[in-house]
Amino acid sequence: MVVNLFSTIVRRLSLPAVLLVLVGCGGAPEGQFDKAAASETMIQAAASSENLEVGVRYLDLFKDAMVHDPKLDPVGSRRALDRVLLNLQKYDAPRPEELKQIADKILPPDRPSTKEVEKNKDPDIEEPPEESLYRAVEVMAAAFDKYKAPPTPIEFLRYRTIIEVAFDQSPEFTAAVRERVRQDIAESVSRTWGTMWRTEVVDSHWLSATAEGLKLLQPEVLVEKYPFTETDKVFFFSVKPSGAQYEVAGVEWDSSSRELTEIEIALTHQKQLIGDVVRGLLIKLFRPVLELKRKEFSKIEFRLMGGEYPAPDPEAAQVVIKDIVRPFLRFRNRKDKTVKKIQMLPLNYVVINRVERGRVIGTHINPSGSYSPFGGKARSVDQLGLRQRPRVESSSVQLVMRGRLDRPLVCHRVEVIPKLTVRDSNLADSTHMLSDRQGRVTITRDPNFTNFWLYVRSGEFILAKIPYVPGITASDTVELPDDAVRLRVEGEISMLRGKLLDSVARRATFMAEATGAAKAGKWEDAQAALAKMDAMPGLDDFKSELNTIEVPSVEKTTILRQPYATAKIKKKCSQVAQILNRFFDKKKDAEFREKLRDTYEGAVADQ
Amino acid sequence: MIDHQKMIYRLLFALTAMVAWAAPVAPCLAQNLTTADSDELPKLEDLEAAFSEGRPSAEELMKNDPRDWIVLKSESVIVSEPVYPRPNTLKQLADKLKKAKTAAERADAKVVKIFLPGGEEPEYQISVSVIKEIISHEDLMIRRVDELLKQGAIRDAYEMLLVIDQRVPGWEVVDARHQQLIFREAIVKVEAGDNATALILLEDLLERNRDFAGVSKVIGEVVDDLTAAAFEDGDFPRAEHYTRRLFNADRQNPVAEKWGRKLLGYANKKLEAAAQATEKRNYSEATNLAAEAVRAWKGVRSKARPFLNRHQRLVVAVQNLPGEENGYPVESAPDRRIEELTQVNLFEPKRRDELVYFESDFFEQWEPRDLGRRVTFTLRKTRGAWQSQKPVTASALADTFRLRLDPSGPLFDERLASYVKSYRVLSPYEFEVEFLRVPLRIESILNIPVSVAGPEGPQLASARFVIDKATDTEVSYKRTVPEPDGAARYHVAEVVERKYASHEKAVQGFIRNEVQLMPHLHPWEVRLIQRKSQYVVKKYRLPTTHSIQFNPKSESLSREIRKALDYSIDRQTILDRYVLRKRVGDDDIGPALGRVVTAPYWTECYATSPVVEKKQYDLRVGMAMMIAAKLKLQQKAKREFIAAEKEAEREPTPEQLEELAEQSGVLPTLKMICAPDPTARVAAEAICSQMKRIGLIIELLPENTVTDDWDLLYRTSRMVEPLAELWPFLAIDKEARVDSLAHLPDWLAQELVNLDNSGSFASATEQLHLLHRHLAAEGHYIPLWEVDEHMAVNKSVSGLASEPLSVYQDIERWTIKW
Repeated sequence: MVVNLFSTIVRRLSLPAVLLVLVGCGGAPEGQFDKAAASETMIQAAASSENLEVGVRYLDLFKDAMVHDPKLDPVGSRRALDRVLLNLQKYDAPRPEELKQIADKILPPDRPSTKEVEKNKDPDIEEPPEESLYRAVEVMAAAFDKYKAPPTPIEFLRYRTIIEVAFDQSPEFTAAVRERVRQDIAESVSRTWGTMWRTEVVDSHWLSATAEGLKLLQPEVLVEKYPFTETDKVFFFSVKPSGAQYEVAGVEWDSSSRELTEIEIALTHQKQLIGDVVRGLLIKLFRPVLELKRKEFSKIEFRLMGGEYPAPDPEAAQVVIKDIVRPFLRFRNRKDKTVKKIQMLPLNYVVINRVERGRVIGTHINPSGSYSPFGGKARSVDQLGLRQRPRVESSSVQLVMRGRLDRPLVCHRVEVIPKLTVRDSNLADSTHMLSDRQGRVTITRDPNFTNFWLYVRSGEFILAKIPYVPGITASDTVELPDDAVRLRVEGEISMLRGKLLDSVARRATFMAEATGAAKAGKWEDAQAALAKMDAMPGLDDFKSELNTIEVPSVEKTTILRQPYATAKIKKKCSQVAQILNRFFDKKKDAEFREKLRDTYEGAVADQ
Repeated sequence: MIDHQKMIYRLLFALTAMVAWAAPVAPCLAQNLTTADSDELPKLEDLEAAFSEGRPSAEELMKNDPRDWIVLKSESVIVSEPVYPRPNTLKQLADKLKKAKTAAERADAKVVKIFLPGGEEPEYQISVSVIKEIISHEDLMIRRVDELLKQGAIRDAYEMLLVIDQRVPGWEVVDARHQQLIFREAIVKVEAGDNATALILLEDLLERNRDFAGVSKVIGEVVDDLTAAAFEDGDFPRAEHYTRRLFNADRQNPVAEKWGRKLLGYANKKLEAAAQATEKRNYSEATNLAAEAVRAWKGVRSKARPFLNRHQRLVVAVQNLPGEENGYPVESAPDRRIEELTQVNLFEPKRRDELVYFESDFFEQWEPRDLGRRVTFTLRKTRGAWQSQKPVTASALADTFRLRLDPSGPLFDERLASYVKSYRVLSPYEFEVEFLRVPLRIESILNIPVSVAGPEGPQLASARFVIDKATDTEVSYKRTVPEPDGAARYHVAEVVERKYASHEKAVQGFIRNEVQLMPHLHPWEVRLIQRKSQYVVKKYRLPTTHSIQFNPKSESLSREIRKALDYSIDRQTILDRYVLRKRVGDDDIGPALGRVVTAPYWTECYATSPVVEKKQYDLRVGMAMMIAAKLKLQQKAKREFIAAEKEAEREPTPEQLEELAEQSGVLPTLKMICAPDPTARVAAEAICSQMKRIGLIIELLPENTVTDDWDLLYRTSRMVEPLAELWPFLAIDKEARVDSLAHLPDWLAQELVNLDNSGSFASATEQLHLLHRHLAAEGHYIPLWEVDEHMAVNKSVSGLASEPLSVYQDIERWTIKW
């Protein structure tokens, strides 16, 4: 009886409705519901809909519901409902409103209310099985009214994509040709990404059909035109003849990050292959979206959007090991949940080291010593990431002064070290370079290493340790603290040390002169040499000079709020002061003079 | 024999003395005694026979003490010390006798006082009446000269004549012998086929004695041979040269007239050909032909002048031609000279006081707007007839900027690229540049030529002169755009750089009028050339600074060694002794031509910090630094050794450490490259020599050595704009590239970057002063001295700046008057 009913529902409605019914049956009296038979029915139902995978899932779901909520109590039913709805949504099931409608369809229109049924219930008469089903559906329908569905996990969301194709005004692109191309694209997308994408291919009438035209796309306009609530990805393509070939250019708009990719261009000789070319470009352009699940130290677990719908084409796999994810934060208004702002996190990368369908695990790397908000607790903030693959051979990194984009850091030494995290040891020899007049260094990709660390030096000090993945973007800008005051101190101290060296040499000559005179028994000459030595700048002079270096510099760095520089300056000056103390050691000086006296007396005695 | 002769002399002279005392009888006594004893004396005949056989020899005559032969009337000869008065003793005594007034004077004039050889004997007197003649030592030498001449021993005879001339200056006998000697030598040379030397001798002879028998004929024959040979070789200047010499030496010589006619004919033919070439507007060829005509016969100069003036050719003496590798790792003076001649820059330095001022031949005006962030350049629509470069339009400027700003292109200008944000062509003659940051001196960053894209890469579009012909010894440059016909005045149309093997040869060529310009004179040559009225000496407005720089790749140079060098070079001594070759009193003549400096730019420059003092020469401190350098080496070696031993799990023994200290304390030999400048080389040698005193061995690499393996660079430079040029100077690079700062400490590199980014002239000056102070203290290079450079130019060349900044400044306006 139950099986028959299921079959009827499956035929009349859909698999979710079957499930719903089954859940409702969970509240039926013991012995009236054969779990095994129900499972079998579900599997058959799924099989009849030619969706075995969904069938298997339904089976699991059913079991789960039964275990957790055998009595269908109000709280339990609510929980069960959540789970059911959640799972239904995962499998592209109808939404709660639709389920309510389904319930309405199932319940006979002339059926009295449950309360009335309960009231009029005759305990001696066995309740017909349909009644328990009806009752369950009714309970759930009532619950639907109050129910607010939880957000769907991202890995169960399909990408809502729009592919807009702009054709050149050339007569060869007739309506039929355009239609054909659109169809080709739609088929290619279906073949490649399967159910991961829900795609709409449209003929664009506003887009310029050139690569240059694509460059004119403005994110501000696209945000309005393609809100993230409706669209996840928009791909813009231009198709135009180029000599004997056709030039296809494309760019991706990601509505979650509100970011456009660089333009990709491909050529083909045949019109028929445009669809295939677009597919190839789509693979290059598509940047999967990931959502942070949890973070433990540098280990990060993401949930991959559409991760539960693996692409049929392995070439189009969303994420593979060693892929790079660029994290960013999406701030939303608490009230209406609209997006307030997007905060990209430059120089933050997650290197992927494990992929399990919708679960992706990686290592988070960010500039050493800097705090990364990614992975922290925050309300109304979506912590997302975009998987990106290197698409250019090298990237230009511009070093600028913090807060002063017009002040490039010219001629700064940069050591490029291949290693995963800052604590790791070097995987290969590092490369040394100098930033140019625009403060740029060019980092070239290396197939053996995913990311590099850039150690930016300023004199003896490492100004920053920055992780970098070359090739993702053609250029990047890195803001670094101003180290001018500290570096100048380094120069002044170098000069002071030079003077000290001169002083050492001169003193040595005077000491030698005094010793020679003493040996010859010429005490007056020895005294004269000592007098010359004493007339040279001494400890106080050098310390005074050191103070004139230290004090104004520390004042400056304090005003500029550069505590790191203040500390470094103080440390450096203190080291130099120690050297000065060691060199101008009064004890050694006294020993020398005593020894000189002995030498003289010995010489006089010999005479 | 001598003793016996001496005894006779003693007796003879004792009696003579008595005779002299007993006046009237004395001659008679002397006569008798002389006759009696004269048989014992050597006979003149014997002595002359011996003389003919070579006794005494020429060498003996010159080296041994002089001896006179006093020939008595008995034909006997007394050999004595030289008698006085001389020469012509007897004649002079006779004159004296005539003039004598007292008895004592008369008596004195009647005797000849002699000393016998040996010097122990007293003075003797011989009556003049017994003396037949006195053959002085010089007479004997003259006789020997005659003998030698007969034998053809010219050199010995000449040598002997010189000795005689020294002993008896102005003796007419010597002069006659000398003439004979010259003639004889000339004949010998002619016989040996050495006509050129013979000509010199004959010219000399003619100058001494125009009437010398036979000389006219011989010199005619010699010149005839020489001129004919030159004529046959096509070397007409040489032919003319010999002819003129003959004409000057022997005006009436028919040979001179013969060749004069012939050469004049040849010159006239050339002038006719020059006229034909001019008709065909082939002015260069016309100048060649006219110049050849003048070379063949200078008398046609006035006829040749129109051709020579139409296409004026300036010949310059150089030691390096373009493209020659000299191994000098930075731009050398020859490189700069050639660059200046072959390209016109948008802005070029023209004048200087504390600053150097630039001017432009291209721009009518340049107007900064937007606080200097935008500059509109208005190009000249017309160009002067004297200008040699092609007209330039705004699109050519756009091309220049495009090529200079393309990082992948060969002309990429890193500094310019850091300034320029954008540029655009406003009209064919208007060009606008927008700057990212306002350049302090727009002229100094646009001190670049105009370049356009060509099929094989960038091409120079603002060439001043272009290479026309090149050989191993000469390179000829012609104006890119020749001057038009019908101009009121023409200027230098062609510059020929002629290579000389050495500076001395070049000076020689300049004095011989082979060239009209000497780009550089040594300081000690300046006053010598200034004295000659036919030359003008121009002082360059910028002195040349000499300094020593260090190879950043060298591992041998520690800070201590650098400081040791700095302290141990006695700058003032080397400057005075080797560079200026100062002599006593030079300081009184005028200001010194060189000064010890503290910076790589000229002393009066705005970039010179007033607080930097000249480095004190202190050899002892230098030695102390060397000891410190050795200790440092030892410590380093010890550290490395101990580390290696530790790794091998061994403990170093004291003996090992001692041995190591001995081995590692040896300082390496440093290699020095020197600028291609003879003065610099001499100074560099002196420095190497001085450094030996502190135990630092510096090997001066030979000239033109091409190698990267060097430690020290002796550099000469002439910095026009320190603001722009200090960076490439310190980086030992041609351009201010960031990469080239890699070897400098970061703080110093940043100071240079800050200088480049200076927003005002005051801050730039302050930064330059700071750099000057730091560089002087740190010893990243060693400033030595600056030398005022001079060029020498023939007076025929005019239009030069009174104090040029460079060799070819305003060359397009120079004129040569023939």
